[in-house]
Amino acid sequence: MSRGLVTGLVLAAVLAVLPFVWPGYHLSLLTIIFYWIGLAACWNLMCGYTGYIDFGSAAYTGVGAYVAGILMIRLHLPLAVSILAAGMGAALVALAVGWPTLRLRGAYFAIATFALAEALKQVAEEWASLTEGGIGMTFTIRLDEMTYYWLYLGLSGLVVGLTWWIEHHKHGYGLKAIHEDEEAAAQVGVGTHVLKIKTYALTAFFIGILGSLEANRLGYFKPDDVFDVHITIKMVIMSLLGGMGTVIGPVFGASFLQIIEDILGAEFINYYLVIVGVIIVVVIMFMPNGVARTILLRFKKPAGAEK
Amino acid sequence: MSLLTADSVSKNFGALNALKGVGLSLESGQVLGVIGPNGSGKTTLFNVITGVYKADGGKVTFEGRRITGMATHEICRLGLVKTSQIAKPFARMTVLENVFVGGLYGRGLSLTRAREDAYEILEMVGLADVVHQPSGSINVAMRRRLELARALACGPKVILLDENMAGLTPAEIDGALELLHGINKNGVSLVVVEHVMQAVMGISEYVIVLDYGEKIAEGTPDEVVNNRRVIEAYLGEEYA
Amino acid sequence: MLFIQALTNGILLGGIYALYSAGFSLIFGVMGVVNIAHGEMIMLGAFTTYWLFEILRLDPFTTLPFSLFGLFVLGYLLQRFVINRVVDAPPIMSYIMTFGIHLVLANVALLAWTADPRTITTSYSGANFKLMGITIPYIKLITFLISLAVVGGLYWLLHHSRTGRAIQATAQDRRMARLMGINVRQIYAVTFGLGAGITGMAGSLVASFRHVEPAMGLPYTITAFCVVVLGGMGYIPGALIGGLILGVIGSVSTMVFTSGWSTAITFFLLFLMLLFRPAGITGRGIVE
Repeated sequence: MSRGLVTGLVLAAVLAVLPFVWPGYHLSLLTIIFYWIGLAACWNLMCGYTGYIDFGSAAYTGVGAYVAGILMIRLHLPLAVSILAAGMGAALVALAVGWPTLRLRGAYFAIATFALAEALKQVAEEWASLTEGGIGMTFTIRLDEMTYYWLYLGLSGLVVGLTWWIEHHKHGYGLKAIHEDEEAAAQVGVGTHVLKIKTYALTAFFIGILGSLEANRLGYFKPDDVFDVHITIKMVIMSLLGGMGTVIGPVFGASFLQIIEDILGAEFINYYLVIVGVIIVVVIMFMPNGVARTILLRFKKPAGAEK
Repeated sequence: MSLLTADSVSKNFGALNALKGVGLSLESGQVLGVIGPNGSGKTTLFNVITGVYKADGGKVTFEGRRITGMATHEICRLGLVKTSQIAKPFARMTVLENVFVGGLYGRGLSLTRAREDAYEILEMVGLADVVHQPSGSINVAMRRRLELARALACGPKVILLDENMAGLTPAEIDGALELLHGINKNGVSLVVVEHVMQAVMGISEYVIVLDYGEKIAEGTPDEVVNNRRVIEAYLGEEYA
Repeated sequence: MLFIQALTNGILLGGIYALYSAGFSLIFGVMGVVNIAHGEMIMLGAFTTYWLFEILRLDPFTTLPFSLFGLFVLGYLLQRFVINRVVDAPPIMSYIMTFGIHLVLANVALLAWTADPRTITTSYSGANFKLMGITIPYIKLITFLISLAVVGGLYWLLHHSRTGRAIQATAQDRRMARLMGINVRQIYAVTFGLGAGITGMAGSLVASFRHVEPAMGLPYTITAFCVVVLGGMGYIPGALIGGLILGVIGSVSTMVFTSGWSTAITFFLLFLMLLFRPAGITGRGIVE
């Protein structure tokens, strides 16, 4: 326990000073990697642990971006306040959507969220008097590049740490029980509906914050960017590659995919989604536990009875 | 005052009247048997009592409090816990963790207390040797015990056992009955649904008989086995 | 008058909604699979018609058998060799899998056919007649009638053919069906093929009056989901009811607001349904 803590602190310190040693281009790659670790970890915390699949997480990056955008650009509120409000706005939307859908079969949740992101995108397009519609919004106040890196590092660390904490505490056992058998979980006293909603709103909160920060970092955004279904796709595949329902899975998945994307570059984007789709299908067919975990399990098979 | 009462409870699934105004009452410390042929509504009755299904009519009270319409997990926390007919362990969790969840949520214990409690319960039901195994890997008889252990971890006043002995060998049934006697001695009241007559008759002080969603008889085990309607409806088919 | 026109448009549109939602409902009802790649079946059906029209000059309506057959085969193979691998796994596996299939189909189509929207223009495109002051385009009317006929045909098939009854038995109780000697995996493949086939036909019909492009699928998937929730998930006649209601709501709200708002309104309706009546207006949907 304390050794784990020391390792964690050392790791955090190393990562925090990394940009000084390795500035320039690498800073933006590292920044973007931690951004995606944060997003994938949020997705994994809800979907990997409960087994309810959210296909519309981009709704929350979008809501976050627009809440922050409107508050900062139109109302001239400070950045910190706007970002926090962005998280809360996303959490509120998640509560509203989670309440009716998380009582039903996972199928309803999967597609309702899928539809949600699209519907919100349309609203952002149409409600031009508030959102500038398809023209998009431009931030005038931004932070320095290094700050974004530290914020993403901190946020992704926080979400991963939170996942670890939940995994080892009451909530984690409740979530896992829900994943295994919801009816049986209720029979032993797990308030399944509320537990799912809480978790969902919590992750939406962080996605909203990350989404608003990223929109701010890029300086300009429009509905197509922040409600982009590919944001959700990446969150799904990063969790899937790393192993759903594990603390460290999204860290591996997000780093791996983001680095690959960086190496292959923009040329590749057309083929990218095809390949991502094929990977999803193949992973589900042959390695439903995630690539990282499947490989790990193969290594330690003899002792592998504990998890 | 009775600990648990169900008063003319009914439940329909579309055109099928699965329960037509069934009542029961359980005194503190009692063991009540519920028997009836397949499809007579026993499992439905349990599901209505524990809030898995919403009743279409009638009411259920527990310790004098109306619990109709409450959610399953709330009812569990009050101390009324059900085990399922098809044992449903959380397969990828260990045997210990399965029971542990019951303590955490059903009784609201701390992590440490819930763990100690889970060890104790597993010791009592005879699963001490397999505590760290994934619960998906243990055999049927053990799963039945795990189901019971998980219910016990919730700190119940009443356990509803839905065919907890189905598919067990006679020797295993004897073991299970002994365990149930012990649990009952510790002050937990039981409602036992069984298809296996021998199992219910051996343990129940009072028995109700369901057929096609209706209560057709009730009484002590002796009275019930000699009841003509029961013989026709239930034993008749088996002994024909 | 404008309102009655919008109502008529909505009903005509509702027919095709019903058709492309019926397949979605069927697949969910029988296998519990949510087909995220549903819209891509429509897209492929539409392209089938487009290319047959473009190259062989076949009339769009005569291409229906081709899209039915082509998509049936695709659906059959997908279920047989891909999705069947996860039918015994938790249902989420199938959602993620069809999500992957959605990505593959949409983006392969994009690579093969570019993002350009295409249109089919026939001699009778845009032709219409007036009935008591209401404009009725021929294409929409024919589309509507064909849609009703196909949904009716599907219903008949499920209730009166041997295969249909096997499908229904499998939907009700998979283990029981297996004991009765039904080859469940085969039935699943046929069901998926059937669902994809009629969805492909819907795509062909759509192609006769809408743009055809690789990215067209997604909105259709979402609409299909709304239709099916309205009518009751897994209940085929519900698709008809949901389709007509949604068609009318969409058309009227487009008249009052804009089409962008109409999507948002549709979603809001879906949300209300899930909140208050998740089993659909008919109350016969599969909920838990």
